[in-house]
Amino acid sequence: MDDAILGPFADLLADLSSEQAIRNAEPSGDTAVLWTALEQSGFLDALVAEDMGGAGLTPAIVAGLAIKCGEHLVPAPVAETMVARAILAQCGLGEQFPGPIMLWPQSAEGVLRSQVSPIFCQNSMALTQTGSQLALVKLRAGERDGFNLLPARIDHDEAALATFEATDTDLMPWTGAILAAYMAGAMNGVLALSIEHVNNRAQFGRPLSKFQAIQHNLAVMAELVASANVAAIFGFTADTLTINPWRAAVAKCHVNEPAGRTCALAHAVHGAIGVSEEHKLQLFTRRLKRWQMSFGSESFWSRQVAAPWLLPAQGTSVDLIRRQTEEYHNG
Amino acid sequence: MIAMAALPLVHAFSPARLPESAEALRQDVKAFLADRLRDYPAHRRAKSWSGFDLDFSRDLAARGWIGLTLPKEYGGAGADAFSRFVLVEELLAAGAPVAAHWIGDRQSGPLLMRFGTEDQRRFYLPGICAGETVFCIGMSEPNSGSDLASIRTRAVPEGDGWLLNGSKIWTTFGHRSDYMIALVRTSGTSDDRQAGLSQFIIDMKSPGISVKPIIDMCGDAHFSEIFFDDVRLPADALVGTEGEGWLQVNAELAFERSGPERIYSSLVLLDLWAAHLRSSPQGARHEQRLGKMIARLAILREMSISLTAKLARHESPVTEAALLKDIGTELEQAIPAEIADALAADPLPTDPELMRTLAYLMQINATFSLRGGTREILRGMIARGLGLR
Repeated sequence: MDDAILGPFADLLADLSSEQAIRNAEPSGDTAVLWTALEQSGFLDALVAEDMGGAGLTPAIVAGLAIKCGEHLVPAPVAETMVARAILAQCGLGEQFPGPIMLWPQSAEGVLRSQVSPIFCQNSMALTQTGSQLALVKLRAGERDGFNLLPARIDHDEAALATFEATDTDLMPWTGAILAAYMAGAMNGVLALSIEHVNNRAQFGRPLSKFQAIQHNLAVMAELVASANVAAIFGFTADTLTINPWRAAVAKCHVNEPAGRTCALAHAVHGAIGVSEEHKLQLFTRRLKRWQMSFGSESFWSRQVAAPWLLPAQGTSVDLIRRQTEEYHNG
Repeated sequence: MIAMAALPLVHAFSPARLPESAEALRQDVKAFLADRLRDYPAHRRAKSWSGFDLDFSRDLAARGWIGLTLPKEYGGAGADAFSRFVLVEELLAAGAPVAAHWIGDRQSGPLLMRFGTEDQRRFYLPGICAGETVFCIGMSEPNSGSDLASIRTRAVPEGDGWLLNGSKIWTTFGHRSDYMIALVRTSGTSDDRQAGLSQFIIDMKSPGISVKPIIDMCGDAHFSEIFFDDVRLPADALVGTEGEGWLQVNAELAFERSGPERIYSSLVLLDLWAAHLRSSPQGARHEQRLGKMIARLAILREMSISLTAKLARHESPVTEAALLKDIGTELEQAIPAEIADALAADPLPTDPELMRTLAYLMQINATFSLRGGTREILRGMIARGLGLR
């Protein structure tokens, strides 16, 4: 990963996406300050081609940026906006729609393909897709849900801001890949909190970190987090703008269970304090659990992963994996 | 929002790609295996790298595919770690019977390259590369499994050489090996722990050595127990530096733990089951279960390639290899359990080869997280890598 890009981005997020900013955004979706700064940074045009005024970066870099967003629990659809802007630019609608954009793939019946909708932030829009029909629509906040977070809802009182056709665009794989990266980032945060906790908290005369049971729990957490980070990067195609749907499916399919286990292990080592509203841990674990249901659980994506294996296939699983991952291999 | 403590371990698996030069090997290896293993039943191929077949090893060597990363002057191909990854991946996917040359190729040869003398390299490496010489590992003892530093087998100086007494156990194919590279104590006592240990190459035909195969729960004689009764070792049996055995053994374990055999032990079974699903009317029912395992496998493969890139840069990813081995063996163990659950959901007629292969792996999977370092030991290493110990 390119530190020259990720470093400054991480610093920016550390500054903007403070604990207070995250907590303030929860009841209201108020992210005005944060969003203005992100607009000015230029990062939101990361995927827009250079000749259209963007940075022309590859999706692999976006994986790293999205992981950072997850680490900092950024309360705005940063990676989604990067993707949306690139798509809009390709369709000749670039630069017309500043503001946060969520990705909103829908079924043929116009139903959002997610059990839980993305979390609302002010002035946000949705790039909806039904088949080859795309549209940019305004969003409003729904009622706070069971996770005490604000779901976004399409504002049917407002006319669509734009409508257009795009036959070779599929938003669903992007959602899977982005979520895998957000989740890996949040898992990084959970691991960091957990290590800090066990090093500082003492019982029976010594820090928790000196107990073998705790050491092993954290070792398992590190395994889960390490594999999640690999999955997050795997989900994004290396060289071209077109995402590889099979890679994205693997990424979200893989990360879901490790995310849940990481939450469980973290709460185990934190004890009661980790369940309090005041402690930072719950900011991560509530979101991780909600993300498990966002845009497809493991039960959804696993079927797409397996599909090539159930066709009249030749070769070993290694052959099939190589074929699926190298479909978009560039040179 | 939080100070993201530097956790190099969880970010150590940076993305890497197999270069074209390594990929070039793949089709030739596939063609060779398709031909050579034509008559090998699935339940034998399922034994994967526990299958011992000297003829196979020699044929593989004749193609130049043993000691791939060893220098040409010793009979190797002078290729990089990526090439070896491609070769090993195809061998394991096919369930090739690689046991006879596996240890020599995977770790004994590289150990001698790193720590051996020029004379030792010239003497031993050509035989490894020819698939002629079989090596085994002498580490565990009856009272020393995970606590390897507590070993009691001892070599004391005698004349120009050494006199060896003690025993080793759980030695893979010790009863069919020409040489053992053993960790023994040469100075101090067990209380000195890692200090005072050395490695020796032991000619298994030496007087004073007796070997007893151990039958495993599946009826295979794969492990053995070896007794050393006043065995004379020449001076040049010492590998590397006297007293540095612990450091050397840890380097050797990094080789042992870094390969894709830690993720592919159940691959033949997985592919047999996938073939079964393709031809079964119930196949689609198990799509989710299959997909979950494949997703894990794909990510593990990425991690394995990442480690291979480190090996290719002559790094020694000891803790990363431990981490990957723990996750890898978890999946390897889960695969037979998942498939058993799927097949027993409907007692439909099932290929006897699949059932026999499944039964074997359901039983033997217990060993996956024991061999080459137990789960508990690996997790301790990871904890140390996180700064907790």
